[in-house]
This record gives sequence, structure tokens and C-alpha cells, in this order.
Amino acid sequence: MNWTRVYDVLALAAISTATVGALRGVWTDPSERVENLPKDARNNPAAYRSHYRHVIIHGGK
Amino acid sequence: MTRTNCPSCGALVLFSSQATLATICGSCRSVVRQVGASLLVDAKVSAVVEDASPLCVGTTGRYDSRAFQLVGRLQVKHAQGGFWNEWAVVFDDGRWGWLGEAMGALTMYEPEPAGQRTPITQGFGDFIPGEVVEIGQVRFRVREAGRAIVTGGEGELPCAAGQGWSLPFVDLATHRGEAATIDFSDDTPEVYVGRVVDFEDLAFAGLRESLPADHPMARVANAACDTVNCPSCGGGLERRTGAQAESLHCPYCGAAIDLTKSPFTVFAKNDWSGSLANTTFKIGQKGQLEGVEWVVLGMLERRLPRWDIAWMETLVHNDRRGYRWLVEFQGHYTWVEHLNSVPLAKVTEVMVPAGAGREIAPLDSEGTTRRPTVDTTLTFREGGSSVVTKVAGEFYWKIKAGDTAELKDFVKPPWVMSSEESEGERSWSLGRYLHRDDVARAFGVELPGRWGTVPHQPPPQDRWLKKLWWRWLLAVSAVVLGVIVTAATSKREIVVSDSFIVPAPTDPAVLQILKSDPGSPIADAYLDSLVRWYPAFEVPSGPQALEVLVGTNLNGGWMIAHGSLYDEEKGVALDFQEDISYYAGPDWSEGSTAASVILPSVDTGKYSFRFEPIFGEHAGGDIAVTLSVSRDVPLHRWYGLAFFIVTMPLVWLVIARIAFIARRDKQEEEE
Repeated sequence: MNWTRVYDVLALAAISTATVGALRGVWTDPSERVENLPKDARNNPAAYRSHYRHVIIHGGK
Repeated sequence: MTRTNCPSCGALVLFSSQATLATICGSCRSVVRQVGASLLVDAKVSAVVEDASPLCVGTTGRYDSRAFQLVGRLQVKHAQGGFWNEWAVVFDDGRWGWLGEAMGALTMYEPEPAGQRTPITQGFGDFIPGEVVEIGQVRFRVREAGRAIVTGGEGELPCAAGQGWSLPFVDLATHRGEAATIDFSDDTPEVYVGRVVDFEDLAFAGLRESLPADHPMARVANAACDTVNCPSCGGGLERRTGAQAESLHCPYCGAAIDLTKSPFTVFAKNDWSGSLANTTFKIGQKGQLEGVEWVVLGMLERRLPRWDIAWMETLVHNDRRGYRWLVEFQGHYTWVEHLNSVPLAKVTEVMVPAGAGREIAPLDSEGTTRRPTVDTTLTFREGGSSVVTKVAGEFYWKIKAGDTAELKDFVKPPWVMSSEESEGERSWSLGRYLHRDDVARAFGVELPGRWGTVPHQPPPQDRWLKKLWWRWLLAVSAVVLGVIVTAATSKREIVVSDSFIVPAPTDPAVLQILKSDPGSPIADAYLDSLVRWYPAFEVPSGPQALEVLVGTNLNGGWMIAHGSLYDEEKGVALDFQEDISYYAGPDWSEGSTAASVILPSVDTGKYSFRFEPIFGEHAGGDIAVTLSVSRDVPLHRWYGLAFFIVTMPLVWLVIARIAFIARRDKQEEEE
């Protein structure tokens, strides 16, 4: 087994993946997407509460 | 140049230089001496015998920026056996000197300059090996006080010497490669000084190999060998190094044949079992190391009875480089050269002399070390009394089964320097651990398995570390470049920045509701009152990474940070939460007072940021919060991951290397 060649491939793959990942903004996204919110959610607390409150406190209701 | 006729036979003889005092008639072997206008014949001398030397009369070279030519030579034989060449050298500045050639090793000597001659007050018999003698402000050590006789000669000489002339000499050397010899053949001792030189450094031209094939001295390197008939069984044996060979061991009957005098005689009978027939290397086999071709001359097995271990030593020869030993122990190989310089030795340490290891150092193309410097110090590792148990082939000294020697090994991987003491003589050699792949490649052989470690074995990981080191450096450079480029092209613009206090709930009714019914309208109203909305901002040219940084003064408490990016136009929000807690004691702490959240891929749009803190508990009461949101931040964590991936193999190799060294040293201590 040519381990230097294996290392070359590994390093190249790591750097290429890092470059593409960094440029395209790929990473684990911690956010939840909440849709169909009213347009005045800013002024209507009852219409939009945080996902945490929505899911945990209100049981998703 | 003076051409004249030999007074003895009338043949043409030459005096090509003013330094020439005598010339040897190639026809009648007379030593013709020029005294004024007269030619005198004082003695005769035999023709030189074949000795596999690559040099010949007429060879030119350079030494210390001076051109020189070999104009003649004397073959001299040591009183205790073994002989060497003293080549007469004439420099282009008219001076002369001697180039000693023994076992392939070269030493250039010149007479001390007039007016700077060192007076020698000691008699020949007063010099003791090891004693310090100062010559020309250099402190030499006596290597040997010995006697030799002239056995042959050719060409022109700066002195008159005839057959059988006695040459008492004292050889001296320094740790740094300087050499001197005191010639006691005349009433007034003469001192010659110089240094050990490498074949390649002398820029030789007109070597013997360049002579036409029909020239009497022509010889093709390593190709010529003559046949010796075993005096015991009559078997035809090949001799490859001519007169350099002093003993030859018959593979058919085990006779040890003395080649130093004719007719050849059997000086010992080896207890022959024929077991050396199955050795890794065969006599006459050729291999490429140091960039030159070596031919196997002989091999012997040595044993340390004290530890009941044995190893093989294979003697190889090259016309230009002389002799090397390939030592084989438990599938480990060491390439060894004999040292002509004297190492600086203490009880437990020895320092490599100048020039040593120069040729054997770089022979491993994938090796891990440079050549040793003159101050490289090796540490005593082991020693003991060894005995030769098996022997086959030809050797440059009279060896036989049963010969004993005291061995001492000094080690600094991959180097091992060994002293061998036998019958009052001490010789030194320097060996380098040789990777088995290089041995197999060099000689084109299948090698037996390897087991255990040897003290001078370098960590096998070094080979890979050497190969991977620059690759790692290149990869890390690429990673750093990536970080720099992404940092330079990212704006990292702060779009939200705020500091505020999250008050600890104090109303008992609210506290009760939060605990018993957190989904109640009262609880919601309380939590809604803590929500903070920030002005909308644009995310152009998405997707972009956004970073939310939340800092607190938490100390003995926790809170939850809810964040949302709200796209009012689309009615979409990206919600995230982060628990922040920090507890600490006098000598401990856990958690962190701050949190960072990366939203890696936020699409183009206009967003409002909503922040909702949930007060958990805090020993200090209210929680002070600092908040910032930055857009277009670089995702450096990708490069952190890449760095980890490219570095881990090297970390693993370094750990394995440390483990190997510990195992090797422990094994040696146990032995």
C-alpha cells in the first residue's frame, strides 16, 4: 500500500471539501424553519412565539 | 623530463620531475638513483602484484587546489601481515608527497615544510599506542608503531628503496581526520603530515580502468579475479582482490588458506558444516549501494556466547571505496565501514571522527538522517567477548573459526560505532542501520523475516514522517490560505448590536404560573414582555453565513437564548435556541458565559431579528446580556476540520514513534 499516495488523496479531499463547504455555506444548521407566519408577526406576539415556546411549552399547538 | 638508459640493462628510464630521486627500471627492476650527473643502482625491487587498486602510475588528481600526478609506488607489507600501496605523488608546485592506499582508504601525506620540521626526540620503540604526540601544534594520538618491508615497486620515487627495505613507522591521527606518520627508516626520523581523504574528493583522472585492455596494468573494476587452488582439496577458488586478500576459506573442505606467502598453505581447518551455504548473500554476488557496485567476498558468523546470540557479517568490496560489511542480525541490517581516523573515546561515549560515515550516510534514499557530524556522540550500549564460529570466502586478514575479539557498541540511531579489540589491537568501525527494503533492492534478494529491535534501529515511522512532513506542510499552507482568503472575502458586517438586562422574575404570582402552567396566558404575557425585536436588515447575495454572539455575566446560573430571523415578506422564520450556563467553584468551572450560533446558509432577503431570553436561574439576580449579529461571516470551521484530518495521521505516527522508542530502549535494558 502506497500510504503517501493515500495521504495525498486524503489531504486533497479534505482541503477541497473545506473550500467548497466554506464557499457554499454548508454546515449543520441549528435553526428550525417556521413557515406561514402572518406578516405582522412583529406586532402580534400571540401569532409568533419562538419555536421553543411553540414546541415545548405549548406542545406544538 | 630526463630520458636516460638504465645503467644495469640499458632500457629507457625516466626522471620526469625534479622531485624524483630514483626510478625503477621496468625491465630489470633496478632502482636507478640520480646523483648529480651520475646514475647509480643501489638495489632491485620486485614488480608490484595485483591488488585490485583502481589507481595506476600516471593517474592525475587534485588535492588542496593543487594538481598532482602519481608517478610511482611502493608496495609495502606489514610485519604482521597485510599490505598497502604508497603512491609517490608529484604536485604541480614541484612538491611531492605520498598517497597511502590501504584497504581502499586513502591518506595524503607530505613532508613537513622546511623550517617547520618537528624534532623527534623519542626513539621508535618509545611510542605507545594512544599516547599524545604534538606535531606542528596539532595533538595527534599514536595509532600504531609498526614495521613494514618493501615488497614491490614501480615508476619514479622521491626516495631510494629496494626490495626488503625495512620501514619502521609510527602512524598518528586525530579525531578530526588529520594524519601523520613518522618514518624511522633513516637515522633521522622524518615526519609526514596530511589527512584522510575520500576517493571522490581527489578528482582522479586517468584511472586504471581507463587503460587500454592490452595494457599490463589494465583491469576492469570488480570484474577480474584469479583462481587459487586449495592446497588441501585442490578445489578451484576465486580470489577477487588480488594481493589484498590474506586468507581464503575453501567452501569444499573448510581449509583456511594463507595467501600471504607463496606457495599458499593451510593455516587452519575450520569446523566445516557447510551451513554457510544457505546464507542470504552468496560469494561473488553483486549489489548496488552508495551508488557503486559491491561484490561479496566472504562472510562469517560471530557469536556472543554470554548471551547465546549470533549474527552474520558479509564482507563486500568495491575498487574505489574499499571494503564494507553488511551485518545481519534477526533480519536487521547494518552497513559498516572501517574507520581510519581515531574516534574520541571515553568510557561510555565515543565521538564520530571527521569524515566518517560520509559515504554510508546517504545510501538510504528514503532515510531519515543526515551524515553524522564530527561531534556526533554515541553512547555505550553493549559489549562482550565474541567468537567467530563460521567463515567462508576471502578476507583482508588471516581469520579463522575460533578467533575471539572484545566488542563494544556505541549507539545513536541509526548509527552504531563498534570497537573490536583483539591481540592488543583495537580497530573502529561505523555502521548505519539499513532498511531491509534497501538491502533487498540493492542485492536483488528475498530477505528472511525480521523480529525484535536492535539498539541503533531508527523508528520505522521516521520514513513515513519524512515523506509526509512536507506534504503536511503543504496541506496546512493550503488550509491557512483558505482561511485567509475566506476571511478576506467575507465582510463580517455587524447588523445587530445591543446590551440589555434580563430581569430576574420577582413577582411570586408569575413565578408560580411559570412553574405550574408555563403555557398559560399569564406566562406567555410575561415571556412576550422580554422579547426584543431589532430593525430589519438585508442579506444580499445569499446564501450567506450569519453568526449570533450572546455574551452574559452568568455566574452560577443558566438562561436560554431564543433567536429568530424573520422574513416578513415571505412569512418565514429561522428559529434557534442556545442554552447558556456557567457554574464555578474555587477550583472548578463548567459551562460558558457566552454562546455562538452560526446560521450557515441564510438566503438573500430582508430579515428582522427577534431575541427572546428565558431566565432560568442566576445566583447574581438579573442577567446582563450583550448581543451581536453579523452577516457574511467566514465558515472557518471547515478549515479546522481539514486541519484535523491532515494532521491526525502525523499525530498518530508521532505517538507510534514514541511508543517504538520506548519499546526498543526497554528491550535493550532488559537484555
